[in-house]
Amino acid sequence: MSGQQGVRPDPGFDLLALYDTALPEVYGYLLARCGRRSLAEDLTAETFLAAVSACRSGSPRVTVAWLVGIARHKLADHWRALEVQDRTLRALEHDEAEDPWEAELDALLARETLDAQIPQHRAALTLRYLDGLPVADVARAMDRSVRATEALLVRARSAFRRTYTAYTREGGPA
Amino acid sequence: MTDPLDVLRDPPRPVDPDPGFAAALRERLERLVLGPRDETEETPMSVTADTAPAPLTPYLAVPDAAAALEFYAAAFGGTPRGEPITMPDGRIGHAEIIVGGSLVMLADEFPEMGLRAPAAGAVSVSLHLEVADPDAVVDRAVGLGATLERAVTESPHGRGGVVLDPAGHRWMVSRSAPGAGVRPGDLAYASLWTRDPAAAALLGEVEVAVHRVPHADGHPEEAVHPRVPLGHAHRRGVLAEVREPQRLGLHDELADEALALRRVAEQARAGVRVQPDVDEPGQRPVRREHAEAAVAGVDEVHGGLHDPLERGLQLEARRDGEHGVEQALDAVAGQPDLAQPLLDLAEQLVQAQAGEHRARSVVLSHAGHGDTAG
Repeated sequence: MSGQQGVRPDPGFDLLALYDTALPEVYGYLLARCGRRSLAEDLTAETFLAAVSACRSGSPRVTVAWLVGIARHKLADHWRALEVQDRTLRALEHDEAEDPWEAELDALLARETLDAQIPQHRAALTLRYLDGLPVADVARAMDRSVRATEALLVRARSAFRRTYTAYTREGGPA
Repeated sequence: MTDPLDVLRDPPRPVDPDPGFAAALRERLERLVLGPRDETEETPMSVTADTAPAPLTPYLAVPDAAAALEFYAAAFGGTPRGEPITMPDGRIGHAEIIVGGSLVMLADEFPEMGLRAPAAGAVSVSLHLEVADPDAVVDRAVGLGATLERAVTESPHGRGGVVLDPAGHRWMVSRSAPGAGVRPGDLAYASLWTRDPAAAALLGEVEVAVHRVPHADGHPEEAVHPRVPLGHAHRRGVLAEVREPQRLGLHDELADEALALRRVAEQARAGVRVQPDVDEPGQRPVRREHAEAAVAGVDEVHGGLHDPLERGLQLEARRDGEHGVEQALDAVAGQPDLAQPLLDLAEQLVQAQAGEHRARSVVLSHAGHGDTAG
């Protein structure tokens, strides 16, 4: 029994070997997206611990990009959990048509605007714009259909625009 | 078209986390990777089943371990496990064989360590081997050199015989009696089965009588019912020709408990429908009706009461032409409710033997450990 397992190299060792290189990448990715150190640490730990069983069950190549992919899912899970708490808020939303928004945004204010969005919107916008993922990949990371993700992005952009416009009118968040 | 939100684009930049956090996470990872794996992946069932050590395993000393392995394999259908370990002096120091699903370890005699095979007439440990066909196994063992100590016989505990194997070990080769698992505190019951259309003639005439019988230790019984010979009450599992009204002994210890818990209705009457045209094997000739209402929750009562008195129930079949198809069962002698759990459980009945024009008495344990048919 143990002999059979010993024959197959444990990919967990690859993960340990990669740890020092991968940790700042994963942590940096998460910190830039969730903004809070403690949350970034929690999600980083979740990412690596989940990677152990993930690399043992399938046989993916253990790389930084693979780990960042797991981190992305952990982030999406986190936002989804927040989203459940915000369900009452979402119920008040309504679909709105998107009119073209031609503007040049201030990067710093845009980040502050993003942080003010509800979790679901924040997740979609983060994956779409910060990570630069195509909509299909955003959908996959969020476990949604592409159509639902497209609709979500439309709503998220509208909400983003309202907040951003308000900020520029008021001169930034209070 | 450019998207104004593209300004948010932020490719991952490595950030060194707090060193304390980094070290703690590394430690957790190492524990997870290097520690015992609790996953059950890729572990063939047979491996675990074969290697799981039983809490108790016989370890036999035999004069010739190689011959003993052969004998146990041939006579008892044993499967040697692994290779015997041979000592420098040529003796087998350890061997394993799985007999009847149980592991048996054995080795050659090591008199210098005080390990000898049993001497004739001086066996102190016997091995009880449960088999489906004790007659065949005993015959085979004797044919392969075992000594017949007791020929295969029927007993209240089942059917079996005893042999001394060529190494001197004593094997009790048995097939346990149905209902042997029934202990005081269990509810057991008997039912009649038949493929004979005379099922109607039989089962339409059932009348239940309740009797108490004293325990085997002769504990006095204060019951008002006629006392029944103990042996009579033990006739569970006995095949009986059903031509005339029969009395079949039943155990019913749990019913007493049910009574004590007042779960049994005051008035216990069960409708028993007899289907005169039973022609499918396995079709139940008896239907119990309304018993559940009469014995609310009786199947919630589990064992646990170990009454010093074993209780017995008697079923008495009586001819009654007027109510041939559907008739109430009445307890004839007191405590009618004791009969009720029996009828309640009779629904679970098991066995009808094709072509057998006999009623079978079947005893089931209420404890839920499956059923045994006689």
